[in-house]
Amino acid sequence: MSSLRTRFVLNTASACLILSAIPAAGDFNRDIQPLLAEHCYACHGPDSKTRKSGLRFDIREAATGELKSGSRAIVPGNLEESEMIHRIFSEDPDEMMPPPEFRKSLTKEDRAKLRRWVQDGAEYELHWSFRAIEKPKVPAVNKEDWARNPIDHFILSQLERYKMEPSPEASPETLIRRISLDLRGLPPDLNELRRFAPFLEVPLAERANTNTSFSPKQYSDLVDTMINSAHYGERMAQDWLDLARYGDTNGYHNDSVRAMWLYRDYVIDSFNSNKPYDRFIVENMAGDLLPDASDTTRVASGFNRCVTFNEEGGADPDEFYVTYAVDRANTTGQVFLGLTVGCAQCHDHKYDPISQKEYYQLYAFFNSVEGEIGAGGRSGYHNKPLPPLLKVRTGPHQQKRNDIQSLLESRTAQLKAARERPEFTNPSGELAPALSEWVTSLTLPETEVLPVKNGLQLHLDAGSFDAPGGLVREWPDLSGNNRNAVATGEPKQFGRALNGYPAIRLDGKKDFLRTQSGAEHLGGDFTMVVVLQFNDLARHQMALMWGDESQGKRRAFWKTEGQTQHDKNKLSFNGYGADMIGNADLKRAVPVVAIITQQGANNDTRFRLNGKDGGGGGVSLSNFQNKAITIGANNAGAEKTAADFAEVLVYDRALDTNEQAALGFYLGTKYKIDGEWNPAPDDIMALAAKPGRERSESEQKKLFSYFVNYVHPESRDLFRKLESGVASSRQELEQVDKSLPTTMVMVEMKTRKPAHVLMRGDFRQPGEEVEPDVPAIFPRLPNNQPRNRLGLAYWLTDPSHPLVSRVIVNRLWKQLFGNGLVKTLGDFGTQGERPSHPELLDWLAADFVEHGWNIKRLQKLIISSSTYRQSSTNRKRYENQDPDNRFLCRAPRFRLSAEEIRDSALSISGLLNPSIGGPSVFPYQPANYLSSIGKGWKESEGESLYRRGLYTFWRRTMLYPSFQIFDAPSREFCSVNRPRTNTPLQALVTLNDPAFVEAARVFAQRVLSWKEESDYQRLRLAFMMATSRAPNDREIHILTDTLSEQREEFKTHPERASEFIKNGKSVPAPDYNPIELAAWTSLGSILLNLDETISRE
Amino acid sequence: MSEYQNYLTRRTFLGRTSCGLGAAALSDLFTSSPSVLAAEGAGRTSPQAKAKRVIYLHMSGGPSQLETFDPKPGLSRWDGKPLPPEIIGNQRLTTMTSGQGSLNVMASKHEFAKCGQVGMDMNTLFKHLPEIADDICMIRGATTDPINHDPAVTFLQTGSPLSGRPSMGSWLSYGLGSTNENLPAFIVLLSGGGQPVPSRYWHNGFLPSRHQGVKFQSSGDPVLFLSNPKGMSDLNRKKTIDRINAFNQLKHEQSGDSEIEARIDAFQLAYRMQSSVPGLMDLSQEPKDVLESYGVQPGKASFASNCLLARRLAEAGVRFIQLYDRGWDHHDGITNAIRGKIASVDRPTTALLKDLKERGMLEETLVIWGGEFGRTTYAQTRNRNFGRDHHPACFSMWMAGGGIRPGMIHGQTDDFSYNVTENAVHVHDLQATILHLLGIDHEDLTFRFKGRDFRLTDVHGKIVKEIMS
Repeated sequence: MSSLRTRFVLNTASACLILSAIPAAGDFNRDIQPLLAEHCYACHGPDSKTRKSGLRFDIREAATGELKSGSRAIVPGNLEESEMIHRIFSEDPDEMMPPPEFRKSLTKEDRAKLRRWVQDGAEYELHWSFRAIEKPKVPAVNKEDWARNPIDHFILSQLERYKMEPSPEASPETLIRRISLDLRGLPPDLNELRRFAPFLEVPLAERANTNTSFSPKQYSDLVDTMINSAHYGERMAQDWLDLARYGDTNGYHNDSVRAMWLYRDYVIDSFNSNKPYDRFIVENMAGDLLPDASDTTRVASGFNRCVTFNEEGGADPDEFYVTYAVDRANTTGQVFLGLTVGCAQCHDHKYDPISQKEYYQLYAFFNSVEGEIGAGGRSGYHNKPLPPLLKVRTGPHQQKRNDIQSLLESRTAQLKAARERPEFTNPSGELAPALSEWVTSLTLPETEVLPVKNGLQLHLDAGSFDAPGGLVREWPDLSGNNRNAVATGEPKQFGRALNGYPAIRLDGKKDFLRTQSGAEHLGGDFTMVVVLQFNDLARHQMALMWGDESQGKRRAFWKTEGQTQHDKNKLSFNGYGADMIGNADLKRAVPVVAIITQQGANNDTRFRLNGKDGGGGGVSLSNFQNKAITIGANNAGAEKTAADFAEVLVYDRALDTNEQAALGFYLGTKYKIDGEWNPAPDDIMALAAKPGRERSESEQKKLFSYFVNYVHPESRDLFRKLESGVASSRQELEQVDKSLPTTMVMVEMKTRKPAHVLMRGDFRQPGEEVEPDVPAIFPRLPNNQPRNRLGLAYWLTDPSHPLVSRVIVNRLWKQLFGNGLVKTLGDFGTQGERPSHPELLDWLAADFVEHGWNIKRLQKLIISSSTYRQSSTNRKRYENQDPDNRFLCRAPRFRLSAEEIRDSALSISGLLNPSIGGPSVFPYQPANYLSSIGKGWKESEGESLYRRGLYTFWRRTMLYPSFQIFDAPSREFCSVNRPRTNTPLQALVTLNDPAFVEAARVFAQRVLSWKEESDYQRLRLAFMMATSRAPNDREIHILTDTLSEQREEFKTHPERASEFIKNGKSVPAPDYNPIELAAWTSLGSILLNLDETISRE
Repeated sequence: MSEYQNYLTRRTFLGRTSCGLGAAALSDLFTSSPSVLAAEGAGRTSPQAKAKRVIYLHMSGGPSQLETFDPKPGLSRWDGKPLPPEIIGNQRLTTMTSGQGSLNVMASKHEFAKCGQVGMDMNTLFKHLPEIADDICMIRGATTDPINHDPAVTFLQTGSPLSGRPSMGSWLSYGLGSTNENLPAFIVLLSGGGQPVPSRYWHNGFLPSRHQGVKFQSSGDPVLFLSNPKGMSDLNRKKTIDRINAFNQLKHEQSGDSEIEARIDAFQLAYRMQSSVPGLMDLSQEPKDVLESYGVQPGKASFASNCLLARRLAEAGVRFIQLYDRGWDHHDGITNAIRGKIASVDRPTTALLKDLKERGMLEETLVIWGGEFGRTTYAQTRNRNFGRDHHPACFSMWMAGGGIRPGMIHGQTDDFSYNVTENAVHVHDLQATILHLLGIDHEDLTFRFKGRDFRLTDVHGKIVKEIMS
């Protein structure tokens, strides 16, 4: 088994060997401390619980002090008396250190180093990354003219020390592509190539005579163009979102959707506007607590809300409150401090000076989120928003809201003005005669004659004729319009059917009546009146209608039969359940008078059953032309009514309340139907009954107010119109506010929740209570700031903080060089790798802080260095000396990220939709991919299919497949460094994923659209678009051959051609011969699959 | 193959005339070559290894031990009465039952039989499994820490309840590599409906992502994007890959980047997978009696077809075959629901074991059956149709083949099947034992990440020697 173990160690440690091979004497940090950490700290280190014999090696006083046994582990300068030296050289299994079962034995060289160190006095130094940063002097170099800026001095001086030569500068087209990919995540387009490398048009053979190098101004313009592109923020955000563990779902179990994309957009904007990094930290850590907190900074505080959430039924909220705060503390450690503080969650850190107590002090900053939900609890918590939330008025929303708001204000003002018009406020003004006429009319009308005739279109009265033998063939129309209704089936007249009055009985099976004409006059406004009693309430029953239901254009009055008890036996107008009116239940064999009116542009509908207001609404009806009015059925003749019809009236206008009251009273009296027939409310009726002079002024005012509001047509109609305008504006406003995007943010509890040390990290075992604080190894929290996340944020961004600036410049370096100067991006502790260029790291960190934490400035400085501008070609002679290129005698060459590979294909083909921000999108994904988590994928449409990868919906439990295959993290937790692997599954993606096949075809269309170009030139340009350089002769040869091979393939199999060009949602351009298009698509696909196309070099 | 040979004779070797590797790689397409999938372990097994591969049948949701393998006839006296507090002890309950008021015992309504010479208890609903009772080792005292599905499966698979660690199959892929260069070392198959099964369960964590489990889809392409797009024939695909690799070869010569060689290999392996995987997944090639013995209905994805696929993948040299069968989370109606689940796994599981045995593969194949936790003795009263809640403190699993002692019952639970009274096997012990059977010391298989050497068993785990042959 030992061979297995050795191999694992070698895998991970090979890079360290190179660095530790650097000869130099007596560097505690580099030579001694890693040995102590690796071989001794586990039992003699910071963790007090596992410490053996009370001995610890991480602190000099303890290591050199007297032990219980009386001996001393280290006696500086005295090898004989140093127990440690005795033990590490001992071969007695009972004595030797580390003990054999620890399996981490020291090598001969290790032992020699420790021996020499003790002999030299066992001096300790603070671990390098905990030391304050002092800006180092820029070292001198021999090859002065190679160096463009201080960075080059640091790099070159080390190269010179090891007798290594830097590489020549990369070609301009390589640099254009490199800078474009590094800063925008997109390859340069043809125009950019032509602008910055005009010589690309010159054939390679003649290139020798062309000036192909950049002038300083040209280079600076190139960098500026890329760094000021709006796509820069997207590229920068991609890395940050891995750190922030941004996702669009909750990440556990059911993995419900959450709205968080405003945070993603905030990150993009922040980088695009080059927000100083210290300010960015403060906003991310404590944007909610800032004195000048705004929506923007509150959105930023969502950084700490990107934690996952367990919605599973049965999960214990208390457990997960802890989990989230733990995640926040760990993420803070990783992202800003570059420390694995999480190791101290269950016990004191084994290697770094962070005790378990200190861990929970850091945790204490993060456990008091107001309104946070811990977990699903008893029945789970699926598909619900997770407070605290912030609704955000984004730009477009705010604009829309402002527009509606101002319309609402002007409409409200108009209504107010109308109501205040003198003639509508003064009872004794110009409307006084009309008022008094109306008051007089409120005495109930005569009942012998139909009180309202104006607008009457149809009037059927069962008592107006005698049907011989009872069988009705035709029901005569009394309106004078001669619209007699002709019978279908065998409706019968009964003399004493409805409360003892005549009615026509329809059997509900075959009987109904239909007018020969009638509806052509019934445009917008109308009134329908029916006196009937249902004999059966079992089904839908249409009482009266005109229009065409097949087009949803009907005016109808019917009995519903809804899904719920509540919907049963209600009356409805114009629809099924949706347009149900009122709450009154219909009863069998009980006569009713039903009146429906519709009026005005808003289709204001009112319903009155036995005089009682039954509610109303706005049922929109478009124009229709149908000539018949059907009684007792719909216009198809189905849905028949089993009822006795006594009287039917249809008007071509909406009767006013007064008229309705009169009509109702007339019909109610006629058929002895109980109802509320008063034309006005009781109190108004009472006032009207009083003689005028006995009314007080206020009574008169009340009467007048009712009159202008509900009776007088001019004022009434004006008020209704203006009111409905105000109402619809209000509704729109509500709608807009409802559709405001929300995002999860931090809100601090008024009183902080107590935090405890949790024994073994277990939430059920709280120990000592702790206050928020930072580990003792660091400077103290600022005195003048609150002891909360804001204070912590200011502590992090203090220019003297030893870690924060080192950690960020290291990450920015990694973005441009593939590796950090410290390779372990998230571990600057004693177990992390030491920097390859410690002075350069410190110089960059100091310079960065000096210049206001200016990210773009730092990037431009690095990109301007000769170090960055080197070629990436691997040189054999340095392969053994520096296999991992840590000395940077060349530029790195590496594969693009998952998103960049997709973005490149889209960009090269011209499919890319370059819009920035907004809710996440759903590009192509194999069907049923999400079935194992019981989810679907509602594919986006049109342009949204072709957004940058950054905007792809980030489902944490099942990541978008091509991203997962290309090493994107799930973002269930903070990830500081994506791996870059190389697997066959990746080849299958770029070969067969519809996104890439479609891109190849659109790429082909683009190439074919250059109609005037030769095949040679098209091949050349296509290659250039994919790789940003001109092909050489051998490559041109392969290209030409490939094209003819593919033409042959599709000429032989034209059916394959027409299939091949149909991959993807976009429609192939019809201008091209399918065989030609297929051949070029195949060629396009090959180009999109090239290693060079998906690499940065 | 005539179209292919024709192509070989008339194709020009343009772009690769000078490149040894490209030409050699071409001829390698149908033969074996060093696989990029096997980089770390290079297909090795330790001499001490008893097993070469694992077929892990995970019953997702947590099968009830009281309805399967751990009968407690004495419970009928307690039926409907509160579970004694001293039995519950200070164990945590889920919030689904912690507020329930009373925790009343529910005796199982099923009958049990003593099976095999060993006299292993099984629900009589198992009609086939008794045939292999003497081949398996029943672990009665399995125990775990988390109480909710998601963390519990994550814990079982990765050694930690939180996401981010590599799963068992990834560790094995990393430690042992693959023995088939046309297939991933770690393959996942899924059946049934129920609890979500996220990709975290087969994630590589911080290990290189080639060690990630590859989930074979039950519909569409078995491997994502395996099929060529419409209109792209197999032969033309081969031609295009040759072209891509010709360009890549030129690039390799110019830049000297060894990653490009790996990419050339990857494209060739991709092509080989395109050729080999569909046949492997095509169960219609199996004889009718085999299909019948597993209970496979041709064309229908099921646990049965996954068991048969597992055997085929095992034959093909896949290192870790992980099956998930969903639908074992019986919070209500357990008495009836368990019938359907037992019926769906009984025949295929038995057939798999017998099939492996007949083929002489059982000795070197470790088969594991079990869920992420057990279920409570007391009734959960949701919907008045009684079920059982999650119970991490004790549950039953069984193992067979690959160095496991056959016909054995290990461990004992109390009269309520609520606590383990003898020979508890914690999930970390299980993991240590599985690695051991594959010839790996669980304390040795480590990976340095974030400054720490991580391992599957965290800082725990002891090998359960008693269950080994």
